[in-house]
Amino acid sequence: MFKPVIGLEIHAELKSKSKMFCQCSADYFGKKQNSNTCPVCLGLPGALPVPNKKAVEWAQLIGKALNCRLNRNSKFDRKHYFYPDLPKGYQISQYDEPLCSQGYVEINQKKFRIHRVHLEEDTGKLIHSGVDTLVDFNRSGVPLVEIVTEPDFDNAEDVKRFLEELHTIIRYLGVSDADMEKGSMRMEPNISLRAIENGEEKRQQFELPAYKVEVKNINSFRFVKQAIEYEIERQKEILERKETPAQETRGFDEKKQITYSQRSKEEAHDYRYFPEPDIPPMTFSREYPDSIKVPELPAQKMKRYMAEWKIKEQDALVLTRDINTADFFEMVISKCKVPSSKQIPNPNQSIANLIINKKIATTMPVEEFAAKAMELLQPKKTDEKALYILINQLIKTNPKVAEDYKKGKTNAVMFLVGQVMREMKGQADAKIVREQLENELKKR
Amino acid sequence: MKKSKLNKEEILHLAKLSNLTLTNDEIEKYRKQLEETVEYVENLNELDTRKVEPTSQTTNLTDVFFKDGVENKRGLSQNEAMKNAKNKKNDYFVVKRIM
Ligand SMILES: [Zn+2]
Repeated sequence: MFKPVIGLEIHAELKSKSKMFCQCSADYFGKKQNSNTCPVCLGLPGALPVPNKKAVEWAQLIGKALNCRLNRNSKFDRKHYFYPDLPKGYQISQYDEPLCSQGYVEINQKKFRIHRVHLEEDTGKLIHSGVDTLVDFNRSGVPLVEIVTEPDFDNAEDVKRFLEELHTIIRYLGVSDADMEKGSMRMEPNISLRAIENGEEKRQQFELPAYKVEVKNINSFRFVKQAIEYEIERQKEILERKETPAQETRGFDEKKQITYSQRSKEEAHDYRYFPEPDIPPMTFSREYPDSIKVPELPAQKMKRYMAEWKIKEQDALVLTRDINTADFFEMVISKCKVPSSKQIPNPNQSIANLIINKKIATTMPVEEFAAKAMELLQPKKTDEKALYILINQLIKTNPKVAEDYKKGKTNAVMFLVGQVMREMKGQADAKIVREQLENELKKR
Repeated sequence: MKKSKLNKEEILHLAKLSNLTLTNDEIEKYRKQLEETVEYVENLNELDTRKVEPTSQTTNLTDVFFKDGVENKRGLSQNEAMKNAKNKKNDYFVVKRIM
Protein backbone atom coordinates (compact mmCIF):
# COMPACT_ATOMS: atom_id res chain seq x y z
CA MET A 1 0.00 0.00 0.00
CA PHE A 2 1.17 3.48 -0.84
CA LYS A 3 -0.07 6.89 0.12
CA PRO A 4 0.69 9.90 -2.12
CA VAL A 5 2.50 12.85 -0.56
CA ILE A 6 1.98 15.97 -2.67
CA GLY A 7 3.17 19.54 -2.24
CA LEU A 8 2.78 22.52 -4.55
CA GLU A 9 4.73 25.48 -5.78
CA ILE A 10 2.72 28.18 -7.49
CA HIS A 11 4.12 31.21 -9.29
CA ALA A 12 1.99 34.25 -10.06
CA GLU A 13 3.17 37.31 -11.96
CA LEU A 14 2.09 40.54 -10.32
CA LYS A 15 0.41 43.13 -12.50
CA SER A 16 2.30 46.10 -11.08
CA LYS A 17 3.06 48.91 -13.51
CA SER A 18 6.82 48.41 -13.41
CA LYS A 19 9.14 45.47 -12.92
CA MET A 20 10.43 44.16 -9.59
CA PHE A 21 13.80 45.89 -9.40
CA CYS A 22 13.69 48.50 -12.18
CA GLN A 23 11.13 50.80 -13.71
CA CYS A 24 10.71 49.06 -17.05
CA SER A 25 7.09 48.19 -17.79
CA ALA A 26 5.90 44.92 -16.27
CA ASP A 27 3.46 44.60 -19.16
CA TYR A 28 5.66 42.77 -21.63
CA PHE A 29 2.90 40.90 -23.45
CA GLY A 30 2.94 41.34 -27.22
CA LYS A 31 5.93 43.70 -27.24
CA LYS A 32 8.76 43.45 -29.79
CA GLN A 33 11.43 41.06 -28.49
CA ASN A 34 14.11 42.65 -26.32
CA SER A 35 12.50 46.08 -26.51
CA ASN A 36 11.49 46.28 -22.84
CA THR A 37 14.75 46.19 -20.91
CA CYS A 38 17.25 48.34 -19.03
CA PRO A 39 20.69 47.67 -17.49
CA VAL A 40 19.07 46.23 -14.33
CA CYS A 41 16.79 43.62 -15.89
CA LEU A 42 19.37 42.82 -18.56
CA GLY A 43 21.86 42.09 -15.79
CA LEU A 44 24.51 44.50 -17.00
CA PRO A 45 27.46 44.92 -14.61
CA GLY A 46 27.14 47.81 -12.20
CA ALA A 47 23.37 48.21 -12.42
CA LEU A 48 21.66 48.66 -9.06
CA PRO A 49 18.38 46.85 -8.34
CA VAL A 50 15.85 48.67 -6.13
CA PRO A 51 12.69 46.85 -4.98
CA ASN A 52 9.22 47.95 -6.06
CA LYS A 53 7.21 48.86 -2.95
CA LYS A 54 3.90 47.87 -4.49
CA ALA A 55 5.18 44.39 -5.35
CA VAL A 56 6.26 43.92 -1.73
CA GLU A 57 2.85 45.04 -0.47
CA TRP A 58 1.01 42.81 -2.90
CA ALA A 59 3.07 39.76 -1.94
CA GLN A 60 2.17 40.52 1.67
CA LEU A 61 -1.48 40.95 0.69
CA ILE A 62 -1.44 37.48 -0.85
CA GLY A 63 0.27 36.14 2.27
CA LYS A 64 -2.29 37.73 4.56
CA ALA A 65 -5.18 36.42 2.45
CA LEU A 66 -3.65 32.94 2.87
CA ASN A 67 -3.56 33.40 6.66
CA CYS A 68 0.22 33.73 6.77
CA ARG A 69 2.35 35.51 9.32
CA LEU A 70 3.88 38.65 7.80
CA ASN A 71 7.50 38.67 8.93
CA ARG A 72 8.90 41.75 10.68
CA ASN A 73 12.24 41.27 8.91
CA SER A 74 12.74 40.15 5.36
CA LYS A 75 15.47 40.33 2.75
CA PHE A 76 16.38 39.31 -0.76
CA ASP A 77 18.93 36.65 -1.66
CA ARG A 78 20.75 35.58 -4.78
CA LYS A 79 19.90 32.16 -6.13
CA HIS A 80 22.62 31.04 -8.50
CA TYR A 81 22.14 28.84 -11.46
CA PHE A 82 23.30 28.88 -15.03
CA TYR A 83 20.57 29.07 -17.61
CA PRO A 84 20.19 31.32 -20.66
CA ASP A 85 16.91 32.86 -19.43
CA LEU A 86 18.77 34.32 -16.46
CA PRO A 87 21.00 37.20 -17.57
CA LYS A 88 22.89 37.71 -14.28
CA GLY A 89 23.69 34.06 -13.57
CA TYR A 90 21.52 34.41 -10.47
CA GLN A 91 17.92 35.21 -9.73
CA ILE A 92 17.05 37.68 -7.00
CA SER A 93 14.74 35.69 -4.77
CA GLN A 94 14.20 35.12 -1.05
CA TYR A 95 15.75 32.32 0.95
CA ASP A 96 15.66 32.25 4.74
CA GLU A 97 13.65 35.40 5.41
CA PRO A 98 10.59 35.30 3.14
CA LEU A 99 7.97 38.05 3.38
CA CYS A 100 5.30 35.65 4.68
CA SER A 101 5.23 32.24 6.30
CA GLN A 102 2.99 29.63 7.91
CA GLY A 103 -0.48 30.14 6.52
CA TYR A 104 -3.29 27.89 5.40
CA VAL A 105 -6.24 27.65 3.04
CA GLU A 106 -9.38 25.92 4.17
CA ILE A 107 -11.52 24.03 1.67
CA ASN A 108 -14.51 21.99 2.75
CA GLN A 109 -13.33 21.95 6.37
CA LYS A 110 -9.91 20.64 5.30
CA LYS A 111 -6.90 22.81 6.04
CA PHE A 112 -3.99 22.86 3.63
CA ARG A 113 -0.95 24.55 5.09
CA ILE A 114 1.05 27.22 3.29
CA HIS A 115 4.77 26.98 4.00
CA ARG A 116 5.78 30.41 2.68
CA VAL A 117 5.03 33.22 0.26
CA HIS A 118 7.98 35.08 -1.16
CA LEU A 119 8.90 37.51 -3.90
CA GLU A 120 11.34 37.06 -6.76
CA GLU A 121 11.94 38.17 -10.33
CA ASP A 122 10.72 36.40 -13.43
CA THR A 123 13.21 35.22 -16.04
CA GLY A 124 13.47 35.86 -19.77
CA LYS A 125 11.58 33.80 -22.30
CA LEU A 126 13.23 31.02 -24.32
CA ILE A 127 12.15 29.89 -27.75
CA HIS A 128 13.71 26.69 -29.03
CA SER A 129 14.13 26.75 -32.77
CA GLY A 130 16.26 24.42 -34.89
CA VAL A 131 19.76 24.28 -33.45
CA ASP A 132 19.22 27.55 -31.56
CA THR A 133 17.60 28.69 -28.41
CA LEU A 134 16.42 32.30 -28.75
CA VAL A 135 16.21 34.60 -25.73
CA ASP A 136 13.81 37.48 -25.17
CA PHE A 137 14.38 39.46 -21.95
CA ASN A 138 11.19 41.55 -22.01
CA ARG A 139 9.78 39.44 -19.15
CA SER A 140 13.05 39.44 -17.21
CA GLY A 141 12.51 41.12 -13.85
CA VAL A 142 8.71 41.06 -13.74
CA PRO A 143 7.60 40.57 -10.10
CA LEU A 144 6.82 36.97 -9.35
CA VAL A 145 5.19 35.71 -6.16
CA GLU A 146 6.01 32.15 -5.20
CA ILE A 147 3.59 30.31 -2.96
CA VAL A 148 4.85 27.06 -1.44
CA THR A 149 2.51 24.66 0.35
CA GLU A 150 3.37 21.97 2.87
CA PRO A 151 3.13 18.41 1.45
CA ASP A 152 -0.43 18.18 2.79
CA PHE A 153 -2.21 16.68 -0.22
CA ASP A 154 -2.77 13.00 -0.81
CA ASN A 155 -4.93 13.08 -3.94
CA ALA A 156 -5.20 14.95 -7.23
CA GLU A 157 -8.79 16.10 -6.70
CA ASP A 158 -7.91 18.05 -3.53
CA VAL A 159 -4.99 19.63 -5.36
CA LYS A 160 -7.26 20.76 -8.18
CA ARG A 161 -9.78 22.30 -5.78
CA PHE A 162 -7.03 24.01 -3.81
CA LEU A 163 -5.55 25.50 -6.97
CA GLU A 164 -8.94 26.68 -8.17
CA GLU A 165 -9.59 28.34 -4.82
CA LEU A 166 -6.11 29.92 -4.80
CA HIS A 167 -6.63 31.20 -8.34
CA THR A 168 -9.96 32.75 -7.34
CA ILE A 169 -8.40 34.35 -4.25
CA ILE A 170 -5.56 35.90 -6.25
CA ARG A 171 -8.03 37.26 -8.81
CA TYR A 172 -10.12 38.73 -5.96
CA LEU A 173 -7.07 40.53 -4.62
CA GLY A 174 -6.61 42.17 -8.02
CA VAL A 175 -2.83 41.77 -7.89
CA SER A 176 -2.36 39.35 -10.79
CA ASP A 177 -4.22 38.31 -13.90
CA ALA A 178 -3.32 34.75 -12.92
CA ASP A 179 -3.91 33.94 -16.57
CA MET A 180 -2.64 30.44 -17.18
CA GLU A 181 -2.80 30.64 -20.95
CA LYS A 182 -0.45 33.61 -20.91
CA GLY A 183 1.71 31.96 -18.27
CA SER A 184 1.09 34.53 -15.57
CA MET A 185 0.18 31.69 -13.21
CA ARG A 186 2.28 28.49 -13.25
CA MET A 187 1.94 25.40 -11.11
CA GLU A 188 4.45 22.80 -10.07
CA PRO A 189 3.33 19.81 -8.04
CA ASN A 190 5.91 17.62 -6.34
CA ILE A 191 4.85 14.06 -5.83
CA SER A 192 6.15 11.04 -3.99
CA LEU A 193 4.64 7.92 -2.45
CA ARG A 194 4.97 6.75 1.13
CA ALA A 195 4.82 3.02 1.78
CA ILE A 196 2.22 2.05 4.32
CA GLU A 197 2.13 -1.31 6.08
CA ASN A 198 -1.03 -2.29 7.88
CA GLY A 199 -1.13 -0.33 11.09
CA GLU A 200 2.23 1.26 10.41
CA GLU A 201 0.71 4.37 8.93
CA LYS A 202 0.73 6.33 12.15
CA ARG A 203 4.37 5.74 12.89
CA GLN A 204 5.47 6.71 9.41
CA GLN A 205 3.12 9.59 9.00
CA PHE A 206 5.68 12.29 9.61
CA GLU A 207 8.48 10.80 7.62
CA LEU A 208 8.71 12.05 4.08
CA PRO A 209 9.71 9.65 1.32
CA ALA A 210 13.38 9.58 0.34
CA TYR A 211 12.77 11.04 -3.12
CA LYS A 212 10.63 13.70 -4.72
CA VAL A 213 9.50 14.14 -8.31
CA GLU A 214 8.71 17.66 -9.46
CA VAL A 215 6.53 18.30 -12.49
CA LYS A 216 7.31 21.70 -13.99
CA ASN A 217 5.24 24.50 -15.45
CA ILE A 218 1.80 23.07 -15.94
CA ASN A 219 -0.74 25.62 -17.11
CA SER A 220 -4.16 24.19 -16.38
CA PHE A 221 -5.88 22.70 -13.34
CA ARG A 222 -6.97 19.70 -15.35
CA PHE A 223 -3.41 19.01 -16.49
CA VAL A 224 -2.14 19.22 -12.90
CA LYS A 225 -4.68 16.59 -11.96
CA GLN A 226 -3.71 14.37 -14.88
CA ALA A 227 0.01 14.77 -14.21
CA ILE A 228 -0.43 13.80 -10.55
CA GLU A 229 -2.59 10.81 -11.38
CA TYR A 230 -0.05 9.64 -13.93
CA GLU A 231 2.86 10.10 -11.51
CA ILE A 232 1.13 8.15 -8.74
CA GLU A 233 0.70 5.17 -11.06
CA ARG A 234 4.21 5.45 -12.49
CA GLN A 235 5.87 5.63 -9.08
CA LYS A 236 3.69 2.85 -7.66
CA GLU A 237 4.92 0.54 -10.37
CA ILE A 238 8.58 1.34 -9.64
CA LEU A 239 8.11 0.93 -5.89
CA GLU A 240 6.34 -2.38 -6.34
CA ARG A 241 9.47 -3.60 -8.12
CA LYS A 242 11.29 -2.67 -4.86
CA GLU A 243 13.10 0.18 -6.59
CA THR A 244 13.14 3.88 -5.73
CA PRO A 245 11.97 6.41 -8.32
CA ALA A 246 14.67 8.87 -9.36
CA GLN A 247 14.64 12.29 -7.73
CA GLU A 248 14.09 14.45 -10.78
CA THR A 249 12.24 17.16 -12.63
CA ARG A 250 9.70 16.04 -15.18
CA GLY A 251 7.63 17.78 -17.82
CA PHE A 252 4.01 17.07 -18.74
CA ASP A 253 2.98 16.08 -22.26
CA GLU A 254 -0.56 17.41 -22.64
CA LYS A 255 -1.40 15.37 -25.71
CA LYS A 256 -0.23 12.01 -24.39
CA GLN A 257 -1.19 12.92 -20.81
CA ILE A 258 2.07 11.56 -19.47
CA THR A 259 5.06 13.01 -17.66
CA TYR A 260 8.58 12.72 -19.07
CA SER A 261 12.07 13.13 -17.65
CA GLN A 262 13.68 16.55 -18.15
CA ARG A 263 17.26 15.81 -17.27
CA SER A 264 18.65 19.04 -18.70
CA LYS A 265 16.89 21.06 -16.00
CA GLU A 266 18.44 19.43 -12.96
CA GLU A 267 22.13 19.28 -13.71
CA ALA A 268 23.18 20.77 -10.43
CA HIS A 269 20.80 21.96 -7.77
CA ASP A 270 23.41 23.81 -5.84
CA TYR A 271 22.03 27.32 -5.71
CA ARG A 272 24.65 28.85 -3.38
CA TYR A 273 22.15 31.30 -1.91
CA PHE A 274 23.57 34.35 -0.25
CA PRO A 275 22.09 37.70 0.80
CA GLU A 276 21.71 40.16 -2.06
CA PRO A 277 24.31 42.78 -1.06
CA ASP A 278 22.82 45.45 -3.34
CA ILE A 279 19.45 45.56 -1.59
CA PRO A 280 19.17 46.69 2.04
CA PRO A 281 16.96 44.51 4.23
CA MET A 282 13.30 45.29 4.82
CA THR A 283 11.81 45.93 8.24
CA PHE A 284 8.16 46.19 9.21
CA SER A 285 6.60 47.56 12.37
CA ARG A 286 4.38 45.52 14.64
CA GLU A 287 1.37 47.52 13.43
CA TYR A 288 2.27 47.30 9.76
CA PRO A 289 0.28 44.11 8.93
CA ASP A 290 -2.92 45.94 9.95
CA SER A 291 -2.37 48.38 7.10
CA ILE A 292 -2.57 45.55 4.55
CA LYS A 293 -6.29 45.33 3.87
CA VAL A 294 -7.64 42.02 2.59
CA PRO A 295 -10.96 42.39 0.75
CA GLU A 296 -13.85 39.99 1.27
CA LEU A 297 -12.64 36.64 -0.09
CA PRO A 298 -14.67 34.13 -2.15
CA ALA A 299 -15.36 31.78 0.77
CA GLN A 300 -16.59 34.67 2.96
CA LYS A 301 -18.68 36.08 0.14
CA MET A 302 -20.28 32.71 -0.41
CA LYS A 303 -21.21 32.43 3.26
CA ARG A 304 -22.64 35.94 3.24
CA TYR A 305 -24.79 35.29 0.16
CA MET A 306 -26.23 32.24 1.88
CA ALA A 307 -26.78 33.89 5.27
CA GLU A 308 -27.90 37.37 4.22
CA TRP A 309 -29.66 36.74 0.94
CA LYS A 310 -30.67 33.09 1.41
CA ILE A 311 -29.00 32.05 -1.83
CA LYS A 312 -28.70 28.28 -2.38
CA GLU A 313 -25.23 26.93 -1.61
CA GLN A 314 -24.48 25.71 -5.14
CA ASP A 315 -25.58 29.04 -6.63
CA ALA A 316 -23.58 31.04 -4.09
CA LEU A 317 -20.55 28.99 -5.11
CA VAL A 318 -21.10 29.65 -8.82
CA LEU A 319 -21.63 33.39 -8.26
CA THR A 320 -18.44 33.81 -6.24
CA ARG A 321 -15.99 31.93 -8.49
CA ASP A 322 -15.26 35.05 -10.47
CA ILE A 323 -14.99 38.47 -8.83
CA ASN A 324 -16.63 40.15 -11.84
CA THR A 325 -19.70 37.93 -11.60
CA ALA A 326 -19.91 38.49 -7.85
CA ASP A 327 -19.59 42.26 -8.25
CA PHE A 328 -22.21 42.25 -11.01
CA PHE A 329 -24.61 40.23 -8.88
CA GLU A 330 -24.20 42.53 -5.89
CA MET A 331 -24.72 45.66 -7.98
CA VAL A 332 -27.86 44.22 -9.57
CA ILE A 333 -29.21 43.29 -6.13
CA SER A 334 -28.63 46.83 -4.91
CA LYS A 335 -30.43 48.29 -7.93
CA CYS A 336 -33.36 45.86 -8.18
CA LYS A 337 -36.33 46.64 -6.03
CA VAL A 338 -38.48 43.56 -6.31
CA PRO A 339 -40.90 42.90 -3.47
CA SER A 340 -41.16 39.31 -2.41
CA SER A 341 -44.48 37.78 -3.28
CA LYS A 342 -46.19 34.44 -3.50
CA GLN A 343 -44.77 33.97 -6.98
CA ILE A 344 -41.34 35.31 -6.09
CA PRO A 345 -40.67 34.38 -2.49
CA ASN A 346 -36.97 35.31 -2.66
CA PRO A 347 -36.21 37.97 -5.26
CA ASN A 348 -32.47 37.68 -4.51
CA GLN A 349 -32.46 34.01 -5.46
CA SER A 350 -34.49 34.87 -8.58
CA ILE A 351 -31.89 37.46 -9.59
CA ALA A 352 -29.17 34.88 -8.94
CA ASN A 353 -31.01 32.46 -11.23
CA LEU A 354 -31.27 35.08 -13.98
CA ILE A 355 -27.49 35.57 -13.87
CA ILE A 356 -26.55 31.90 -13.56
CA ASN A 357 -28.96 30.69 -16.26
CA LYS A 358 -27.97 33.65 -18.44
CA LYS A 359 -31.66 34.52 -18.86
CA ILE A 360 -30.46 38.06 -19.50
CA ALA A 361 -27.03 38.73 -20.99
CA THR A 362 -24.63 39.65 -18.18
CA THR A 363 -22.58 41.64 -20.65
CA MET A 364 -24.99 44.58 -20.53
CA PRO A 365 -24.59 47.47 -18.08
CA VAL A 366 -25.85 46.85 -14.55
CA GLU A 367 -28.68 49.41 -14.85
CA GLU A 368 -30.02 47.81 -17.99
CA PHE A 369 -29.78 44.35 -16.51
CA ALA A 370 -31.55 45.49 -13.34
CA ALA A 371 -34.37 47.08 -15.37
CA LYS A 372 -34.87 43.90 -17.41
CA ALA A 373 -34.73 41.78 -14.28
CA MET A 374 -37.39 43.90 -12.59
CA GLU A 375 -39.61 43.57 -15.64
CA LEU A 376 -39.19 39.77 -15.66
CA LEU A 377 -39.74 39.49 -11.95
CA GLN A 378 -42.81 41.74 -11.91
CA PRO A 379 -45.84 39.76 -10.72
CA LYS A 380 -47.83 39.06 -13.89
CA LYS A 381 -51.09 40.98 -14.16
CA THR A 382 -53.80 38.66 -15.36
CA ASP A 383 -56.78 39.92 -17.36
CA GLU A 384 -59.36 37.92 -15.40
CA LYS A 385 -62.21 38.41 -17.84
CA ALA A 386 -60.24 37.38 -20.90
CA LEU A 387 -58.92 34.43 -18.95
CA TYR A 388 -62.45 33.26 -18.01
CA ILE A 389 -63.61 33.36 -21.61
CA LEU A 390 -60.52 31.61 -22.91
CA ILE A 391 -60.67 28.85 -20.31
CA ASN A 392 -64.26 27.96 -21.09
CA GLN A 393 -63.56 28.01 -24.76
CA LEU A 394 -60.61 25.65 -24.38
CA ILE A 395 -62.49 23.23 -22.16
CA LYS A 396 -65.20 23.07 -24.79
CA THR A 397 -62.80 22.40 -27.65
CA ASN A 398 -60.89 19.78 -25.63
CA PRO A 399 -63.60 17.55 -24.17
CA LYS A 400 -61.13 14.64 -23.83
CA VAL A 401 -59.02 16.61 -21.37
CA ALA A 402 -62.02 17.53 -19.26
CA GLU A 403 -63.06 13.90 -19.21
CA ASP A 404 -59.58 12.71 -18.22
CA TYR A 405 -59.50 15.26 -15.45
CA LYS A 406 -62.81 14.04 -14.08
CA LYS A 407 -61.51 10.48 -14.12
CA GLY A 408 -58.78 11.60 -11.75
CA LYS A 409 -55.96 12.32 -14.17
CA THR A 410 -55.39 15.69 -12.57
CA ASN A 411 -52.21 16.17 -14.55
CA ALA A 412 -54.28 16.54 -17.69
CA VAL A 413 -54.87 20.12 -16.63
CA MET A 414 -51.27 20.99 -17.45
CA PHE A 415 -52.00 20.62 -21.16
CA LEU A 416 -54.68 23.30 -20.87
CA VAL A 417 -52.41 25.56 -18.76
CA GLY A 418 -49.91 25.42 -21.59
CA GLN A 419 -52.59 26.30 -24.12
CA VAL A 420 -53.82 29.23 -22.05
CA MET A 421 -50.35 30.59 -21.49
CA ARG A 422 -49.68 30.41 -25.19
CA GLU A 423 -52.90 32.16 -26.13
CA MET A 424 -52.26 34.88 -23.54
CA LYS A 425 -48.68 35.24 -24.72
CA GLY A 426 -47.35 34.73 -21.23
CA GLN A 427 -49.30 37.68 -19.87
CA ALA A 428 -50.84 35.60 -17.12
CA ASP A 429 -49.70 34.08 -13.89
CA ALA A 430 -49.45 30.32 -14.39
CA LYS A 431 -50.54 29.67 -10.82
CA ILE A 432 -53.78 31.66 -11.24
CA VAL A 433 -54.40 30.05 -14.62
CA ARG A 434 -54.18 26.61 -13.09
CA GLU A 435 -56.47 27.51 -10.19
CA GLN A 436 -59.08 28.95 -12.53
CA LEU A 437 -58.87 25.99 -14.88
CA GLU A 438 -59.38 23.51 -12.08
CA ASN A 439 -62.32 25.53 -10.75
CA GLU A 440 -64.01 25.42 -14.14
CA LEU A 441 -63.20 21.76 -14.74
CA LYS A 442 -64.69 20.80 -11.40
CA LYS A 443 -67.93 22.58 -12.33
CA ARG A 444 -68.45 20.28 -15.30
CA MET B 1 47.07 27.93 9.60
CA LYS B 2 46.36 25.72 6.65
CA LYS B 3 43.05 23.99 7.10
CA SER B 4 41.12 24.27 3.87
CA LYS B 5 42.16 21.77 1.30
CA LEU B 6 40.21 21.90 -1.92
CA ASN B 7 40.27 18.80 -4.06
CA LYS B 8 39.98 18.38 -7.79
CA GLU B 9 36.35 17.21 -7.62
CA GLU B 10 35.31 20.38 -5.83
CA ILE B 11 36.95 22.53 -8.49
CA LEU B 12 35.22 20.52 -11.22
CA HIS B 13 31.89 20.91 -9.43
CA LEU B 14 32.35 24.68 -9.20
CA ALA B 15 33.41 24.81 -12.84
CA LYS B 16 30.28 22.96 -13.84
CA LEU B 17 28.08 25.32 -11.80
CA SER B 18 29.71 28.24 -13.59
CA ASN B 19 29.47 26.58 -16.98
CA LEU B 20 33.26 26.67 -17.42
CA THR B 21 35.43 24.10 -19.19
CA LEU B 22 38.85 23.82 -17.55
CA THR B 23 42.03 22.19 -18.81
CA ASN B 24 44.01 20.01 -16.40
CA ASP B 25 46.51 22.82 -15.88
CA GLU B 26 43.73 25.26 -15.13
CA ILE B 27 42.15 22.90 -12.63
CA GLU B 28 45.37 22.81 -10.63
CA LYS B 29 45.93 26.56 -11.02
CA TYR B 30 42.43 27.48 -9.81
CA ARG B 31 42.54 24.89 -7.06
CA LYS B 32 45.60 26.60 -5.62
CA GLN B 33 44.26 30.12 -6.08
CA LEU B 34 40.87 29.34 -4.62
CA GLU B 35 42.49 27.55 -1.71
CA GLU B 36 44.52 30.65 -0.94
CA THR B 37 41.40 32.78 -1.12
CA VAL B 38 39.49 30.56 1.25
CA GLU B 39 42.44 30.49 3.63
CA TYR B 40 42.59 34.27 3.56
CA VAL B 41 38.91 34.54 4.45
CA GLU B 42 39.44 32.04 7.23
CA ASN B 43 41.55 34.64 9.00
CA LEU B 44 38.23 36.06 10.11
CA ASN B 45 37.78 33.04 12.34
CA GLU B 46 40.46 34.46 14.62
CA LEU B 47 38.21 37.38 15.50
CA ASP B 48 35.91 37.12 18.47
CA THR B 49 32.50 37.84 16.93
CA ARG B 50 30.35 36.54 19.76
CA LYS B 51 28.90 39.98 20.41
CA VAL B 52 28.58 41.04 16.79
CA GLU B 53 25.18 40.85 15.13
CA PRO B 54 25.32 39.05 11.79
CA THR B 55 24.70 41.36 8.87
CA SER B 56 24.53 40.92 5.14
CA GLN B 57 25.22 44.47 4.09
CA THR B 58 27.42 47.33 5.11
CA THR B 59 25.44 50.45 4.26
CA ASN B 60 23.26 50.45 7.39
CA LEU B 61 20.37 51.31 5.14
CA THR B 62 17.01 49.58 5.41
CA ASP B 63 13.79 49.75 3.41
CA VAL B 64 14.94 51.30 0.17
CA PHE B 65 12.12 51.09 -2.38
CA PHE B 66 10.78 52.84 -5.44
CA LYS B 67 7.15 53.73 -5.98
CA ASP B 68 5.51 51.58 -8.64
CA GLY B 69 5.44 53.35 -12.00
CA VAL B 70 7.09 53.13 -15.41
CA GLU B 71 10.08 55.39 -15.98
CA ASN B 72 11.84 55.06 -19.31
CA LYS B 73 14.88 57.22 -18.59
CA ARG B 74 17.13 54.20 -18.16
CA GLY B 75 15.34 51.99 -20.65
CA LEU B 76 17.27 50.55 -23.58
CA SER B 77 15.99 50.47 -27.13
CA GLN B 78 16.01 47.14 -28.90
CA ASN B 79 19.14 48.25 -30.78
CA GLU B 80 20.95 49.31 -27.64
CA ALA B 81 20.00 46.12 -25.81
CA MET B 82 21.34 43.94 -28.62
CA LYS B 83 24.37 46.06 -29.46
CA ASN B 84 27.06 44.05 -27.69
CA ALA B 85 25.61 40.58 -28.20
CA LYS B 86 27.97 38.21 -29.97
CA ASN B 87 25.23 35.91 -31.20
CA LYS B 88 21.91 37.32 -32.30
CA LYS B 89 19.18 36.51 -34.74
CA ASN B 90 16.04 38.52 -35.55
CA ASP B 91 16.62 40.67 -32.48
CA TYR B 92 16.84 37.67 -30.18
CA PHE B 93 19.93 36.69 -28.22
CA VAL B 94 21.02 33.26 -29.39
CA VAL B 95 22.56 30.35 -27.53
CA LYS B 96 23.13 26.76 -28.58
CA ARG B 97 19.86 24.88 -28.30
CA ILE B 98 19.41 23.71 -24.71
CA MET B 99 16.40 21.40 -24.92
ZN1 LIG C 1 14.51 47.01 -16.58
